[in-house]
Amino acid sequence: MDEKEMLRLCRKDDRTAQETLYRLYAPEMLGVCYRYTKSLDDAEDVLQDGFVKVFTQIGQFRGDGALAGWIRRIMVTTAISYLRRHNRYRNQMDFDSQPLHVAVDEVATSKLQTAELMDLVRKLPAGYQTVFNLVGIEGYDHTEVAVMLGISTQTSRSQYSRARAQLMKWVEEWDEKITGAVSNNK
Amino acid sequence: MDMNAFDDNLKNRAGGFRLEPRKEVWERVEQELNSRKRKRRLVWFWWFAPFLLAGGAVWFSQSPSNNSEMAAVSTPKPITSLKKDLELNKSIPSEIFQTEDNKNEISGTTTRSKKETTTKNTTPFTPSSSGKSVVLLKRSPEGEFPQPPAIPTPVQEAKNVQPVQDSLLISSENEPKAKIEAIPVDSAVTTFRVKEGTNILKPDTTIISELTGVFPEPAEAIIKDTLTPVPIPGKAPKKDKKPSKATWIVLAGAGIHNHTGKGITLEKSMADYTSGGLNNNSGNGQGSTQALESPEPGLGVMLGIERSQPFGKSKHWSWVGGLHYQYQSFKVSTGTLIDSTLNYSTDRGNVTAANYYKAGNSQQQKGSQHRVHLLAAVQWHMDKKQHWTWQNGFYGGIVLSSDYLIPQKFPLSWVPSEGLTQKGYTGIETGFLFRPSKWGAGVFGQYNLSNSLKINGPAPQYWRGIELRVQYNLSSNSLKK
Repeated sequence: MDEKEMLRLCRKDDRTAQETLYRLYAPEMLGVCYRYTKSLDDAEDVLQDGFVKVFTQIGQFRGDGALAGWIRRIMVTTAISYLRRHNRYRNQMDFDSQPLHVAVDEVATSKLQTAELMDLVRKLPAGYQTVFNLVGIEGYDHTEVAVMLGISTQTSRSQYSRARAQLMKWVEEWDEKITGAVSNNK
Repeated sequence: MDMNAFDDNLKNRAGGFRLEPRKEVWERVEQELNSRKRKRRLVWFWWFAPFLLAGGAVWFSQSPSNNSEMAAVSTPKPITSLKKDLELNKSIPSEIFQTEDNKNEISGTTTRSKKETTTKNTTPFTPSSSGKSVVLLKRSPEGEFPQPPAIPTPVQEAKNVQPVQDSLLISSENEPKAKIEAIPVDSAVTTFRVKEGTNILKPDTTIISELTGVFPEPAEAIIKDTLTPVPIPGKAPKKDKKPSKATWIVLAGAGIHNHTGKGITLEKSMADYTSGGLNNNSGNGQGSTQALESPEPGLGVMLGIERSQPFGKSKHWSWVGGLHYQYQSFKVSTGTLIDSTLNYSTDRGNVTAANYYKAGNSQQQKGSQHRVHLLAAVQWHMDKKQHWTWQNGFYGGIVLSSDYLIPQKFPLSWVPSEGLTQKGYTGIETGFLFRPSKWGAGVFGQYNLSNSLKINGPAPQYWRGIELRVQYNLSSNSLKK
């Protein structure tokens, strides 16, 4: 089934086509959702909400861009509203007052593969994490992020640069630990 | 670490980052989609629900069987079951069950499938406080009546109790006549209910009071206390009718009307008018004139009767149906002569049409109309006391009679003629009413959608008018004081 046919059937609420589309994009999208949340369960909740939106709004997809990009955008907006909706995130979404504080020990224990790198991103407070995801990974500019999150562009900039600095620091620390461990072994 | 390199590295890695979701996620998505689909269907249902409900209500209100239903409290299909039994018992003489006050005796039997033995209670009940009837309840042998499948009630399910099937048999002595099936709410108690007016034995024998029984062990004792059947001869009395909120209103009014719109065509055979010295010399004896209307207000009076009925319990909306009679006078002057070749010959000599009119002649149609129409209107009562009302309606009717005269100053006097066609007409009206008491007054504007005033031709003539009406409410329950 090619993408056009799949889209046509999805618009007709064909469950098989919808499942095909889901199977095709769910892993990539769960990767997106995972970066915005603190647990896999939450990420899957976002994925579920996101795909429900995808299937109910698929009639609005005009085919101008890539389907993956359109779905990803839905996932991102769904994730943001999910973070706002849930108490455990809401407090951390207070962009102006949230201090950037993370236990470094936890970071050091992770192996810096891709998944671990994503874990580093997820160690950031939700507000920083969201801004970093939107700017650093999704590629939105600060104006767009400011609109999406209801913050000023200045806040977006500062949050992003602080989050990035923190992440770099963690990665360097991790590198030093690995390097130290290797030289000790020698 | 180079910042850009860090960004690129992170971006690349994040872009390719994938996680396989658990199977349940798709199931949840599917569930959500299905529930949304159901909701959408439900929305459609609610769109049509009012129509279904209205249809159901009409059907129910017209159904002859709505007074002869029987419902067992926990039994899903007691009515059909009872009806079957009633069919079987049509041959039973009704006299058996027609009883006299204080001497009534009806036998009831309960069948309880768990019971292996049959207990008979032959002690008549003492008359109820109303002193109308006595009931005997007997247990009938098991298997006398086929039992429907037992459905556990929520209580039974909770208690894990097997349902017990009970029946109440209304019988004369040993002969069972009708059965009321019931499922007990627990193992010891059976509750059943017979609706007021239920026809149990024969079509002409009914129970008029609600019959409710509770069957704990032993059954007889409680039944004595709780059963109050009142079998009486004859049909169940009809329920008291609710006082109608409909009101009858008589109206009288006077108004000014104006005919307006397109011109009217006057086609007259002038050759016919040889009397009085007018001859038509237009060759073939036929001439025609085109008359353009010159609106001249006419007077009218009206009489009417209306019935107003609120929409349900609404204090703000009601509909009105009515019959109106209107008398209208009208007058139309004409001016333009189309056929300039038309010459009139008078006893004073031949004149051209132009000269004829120049000499001050004119054609006029005068007449009157009697109209009767039906009105259907909706009223919006602006206040809850219904003192101020805005009414919008549609009317349609017929012109009962009409006539007109053509005055021709020169050379003829008034010439009666037949020209107005009798036609139906339709129109709309809107108006405001002030009705502080049984008396009320209102002002109404009317506009005819179709014409009744035609003079030997198809040209339409529109009519509009303003009427002042006084009305009197004939009903006593009309106003909310």
